[in-house]
Amino acid sequence: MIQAIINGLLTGGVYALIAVGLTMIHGVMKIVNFAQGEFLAIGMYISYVLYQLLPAGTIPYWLLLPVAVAMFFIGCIIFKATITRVIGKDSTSYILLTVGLSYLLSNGLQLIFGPNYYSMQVSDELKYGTVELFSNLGIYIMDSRLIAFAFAVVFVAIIHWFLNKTDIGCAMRATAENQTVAASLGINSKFCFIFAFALGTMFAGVSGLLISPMFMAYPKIGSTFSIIAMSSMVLGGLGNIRGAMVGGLLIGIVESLTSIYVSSELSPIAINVALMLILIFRPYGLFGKGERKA
Amino acid sequence: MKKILEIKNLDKSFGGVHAINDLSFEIYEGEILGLIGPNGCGKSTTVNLITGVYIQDKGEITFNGDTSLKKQSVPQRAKMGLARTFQSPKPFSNMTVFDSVYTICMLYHRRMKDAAKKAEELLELMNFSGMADTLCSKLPIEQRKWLDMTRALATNPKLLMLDECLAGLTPSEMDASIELVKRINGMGVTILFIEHVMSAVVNLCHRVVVMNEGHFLSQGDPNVVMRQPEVIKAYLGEDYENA
Amino acid sequence: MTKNLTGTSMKKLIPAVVFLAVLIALPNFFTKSYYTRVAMEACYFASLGIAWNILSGYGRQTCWCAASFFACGAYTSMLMYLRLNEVSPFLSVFVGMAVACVLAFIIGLPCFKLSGVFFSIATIACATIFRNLLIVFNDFTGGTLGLAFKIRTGNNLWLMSFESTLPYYYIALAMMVIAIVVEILFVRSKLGYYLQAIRDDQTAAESLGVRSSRVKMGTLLVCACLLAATGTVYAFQVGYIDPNVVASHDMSIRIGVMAILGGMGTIWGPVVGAFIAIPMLEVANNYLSTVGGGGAGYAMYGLLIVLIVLFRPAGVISLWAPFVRWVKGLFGKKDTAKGGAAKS
Repeated sequence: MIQAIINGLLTGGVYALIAVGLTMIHGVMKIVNFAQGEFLAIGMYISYVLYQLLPAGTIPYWLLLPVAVAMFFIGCIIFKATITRVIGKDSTSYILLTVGLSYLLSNGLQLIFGPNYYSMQVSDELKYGTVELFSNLGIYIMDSRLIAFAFAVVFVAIIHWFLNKTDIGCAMRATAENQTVAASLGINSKFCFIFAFALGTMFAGVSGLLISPMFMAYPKIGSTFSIIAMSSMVLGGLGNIRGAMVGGLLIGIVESLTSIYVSSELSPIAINVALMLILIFRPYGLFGKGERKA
Repeated sequence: MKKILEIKNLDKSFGGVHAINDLSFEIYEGEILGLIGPNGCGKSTTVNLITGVYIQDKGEITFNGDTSLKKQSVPQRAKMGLARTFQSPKPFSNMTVFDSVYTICMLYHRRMKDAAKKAEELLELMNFSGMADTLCSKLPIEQRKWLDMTRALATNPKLLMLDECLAGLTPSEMDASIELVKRINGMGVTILFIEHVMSAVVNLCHRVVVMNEGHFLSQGDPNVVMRQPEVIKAYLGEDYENA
Repeated sequence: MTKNLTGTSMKKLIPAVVFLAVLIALPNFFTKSYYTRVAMEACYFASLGIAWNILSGYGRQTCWCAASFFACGAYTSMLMYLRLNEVSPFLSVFVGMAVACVLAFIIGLPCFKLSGVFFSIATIACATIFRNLLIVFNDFTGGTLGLAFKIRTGNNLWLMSFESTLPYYYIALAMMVIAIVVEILFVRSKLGYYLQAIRDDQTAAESLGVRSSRVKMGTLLVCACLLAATGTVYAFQVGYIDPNVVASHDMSIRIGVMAILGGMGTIWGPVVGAFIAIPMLEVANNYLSTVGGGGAGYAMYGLLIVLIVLFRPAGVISLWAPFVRWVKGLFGKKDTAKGGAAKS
């Protein structure tokens, strides 16, 4: 039981990171990005390719910076080319656009890399190494999960600090609150949009790197993570960074508990059922408050 | 005279904001009742409570002798004969003028032919003849407001609530609107007229109810009520009397 | 109004009749049965796209669970054929539709409480749940392996088993015509009008007495029936179904592409879309299959959606009116204004 919860929490940390990216995009430009999972897949492939260039057995986390930078620029390009044109239009446009984007990206990945599964050849130490927690309890934690969790937490902490303490962060929050007012106060909302989107993309890509030692990369991996990210975001209440983080952790626990106690086949069902339940009963998330209709 | 709508001790809060506070008034059949008060006094909230967009915390709304209103949803109340227009018009943008009225007529006529006939009649009545094939999104603001009224009439309303149907119009358009309201009233539809333009209220309404900060302030003949000091105070602030 | 209906609708019908005649005659011009197969595929996807278009185009309720209903029809009739001593698809199609309606009810009840993007997310979640359920109950549904016919020989219309592609093509064509008729009837029905009113302004529509959840539910039932019926026909032609194809999110998107490309919320949009997209896909698969790891065709679908949303949200069909005007201009006719109404 405790083992399952801890495993869930650790995976949930990475989910939280993806969800935070998604939440930030939604918060600032009111767009739900259905292609978030595909950004993660791109991150995985970039990590895989770059890792091949490094000497065998290197720790993959050195790639954090190049992957982050690459994803940031990919985010900028995608935003400039597509998303920027649908901001402020009705929801159908961006739903269709981002769904189309996700389809384009996942099949594009297949076009480039083929339908095969790739797994990063990390050292066995990292792949199978475990840490024993509270040595008497017999609870083991995979090193890679622990590291991924730690990085995810650090990233979420950084973004939290960034949004609350820096000028750009505050500008982004202001834009999220009310774009027109923010623009009239001299905030460059275009810059905020592009920055938020690029950050969101970067987070997805970094998550891709973090999960690479545990998951194999294949073109369609994105859709699973898209659903997970959306579940976490909705669970935490929209546009709420802290909520998304808690949501990610909870989804991780739900998944891990179902796969251990029921069946690993059922864990995707459990996540989606959880999402449906939240949407029906707590549409503003576990921590969100109901809004007054205009 | 028969009461068509009776509001008793209505109460509604949004979080910490006490929007409607112990509000009571009634509307008699066939009259035009003006509901006036300063901005934010809860006029629109009152309409939303009557039509069922919000459910009151306390109090009772009786429509045409029916006290079960609280259990009815927005469309159900519309079918009972409670129609409304919106402060900012809400046209069915991708439909033609005819279709948008026709659609609503269908709800109240079994056969589509009858609905079409009724829609044509209504368009005629509301000065839309010849514009049946115009797209709603192409209409100017005053015609959007009139189209909203036409659609509302398609529901065969007993009580029509007009939420600021004159706001943003030029004087000549206002005159046309007032003419239309009179025409609708002449068909036997009771009207709740929510408005800021006082000359129109005085001209049109048989009676007015004044609200302030969510509660009832005064009611009676428009010419009399407008001279009451507490009404003037609510509208124009304390200093007005001294000035 | 009545004048309006009969007067111009005859003119409107001309392109449709010509189109239909071409489709009926088409196999005579094909030298290979492969081309007939492509046209058949286009017919299937046109009917599916029409079903999707009814809810997502006319209603602007972007749903991504079309594949679930499609799978419902395919699985029901396949199972009835395999397990119940060869029940004819002409009977099981109705059972499939009924099952799809039940599913539509289960999915619609929670989903229609949500609006906009949340509705879309919820439909994706429902579709994922459904697909995984198909996989989990593998004793019954064959799990990830799916279901397949044993090889069937001989021609038998009642069991929809033919040795050549041609009869299947005409069945698919008939299915498409049925779908178009249903679509036209729907758009002119009360339900269709209510749905369009809700699309334009739900608050206003409700305040005037339109019960939005009921209208949306009714629409979803119509869509589900169309999708399930197409699923049955499809299953009996292909002879093999598996959940990761017929019930997948990919399938739902592929269905959507037809309507998005052709023009959402138009009668002929999905048909036009399907007859552009399917041949394009085949070309891509034939000539680009050696490029990279495959998937070029589907990547193109994604690209098409993106381009259409960005540059021509009204779809390819919105080019028809300017085209007609251009043609009329060539022949020196002056009534250019009326050409615009022909297919919009």
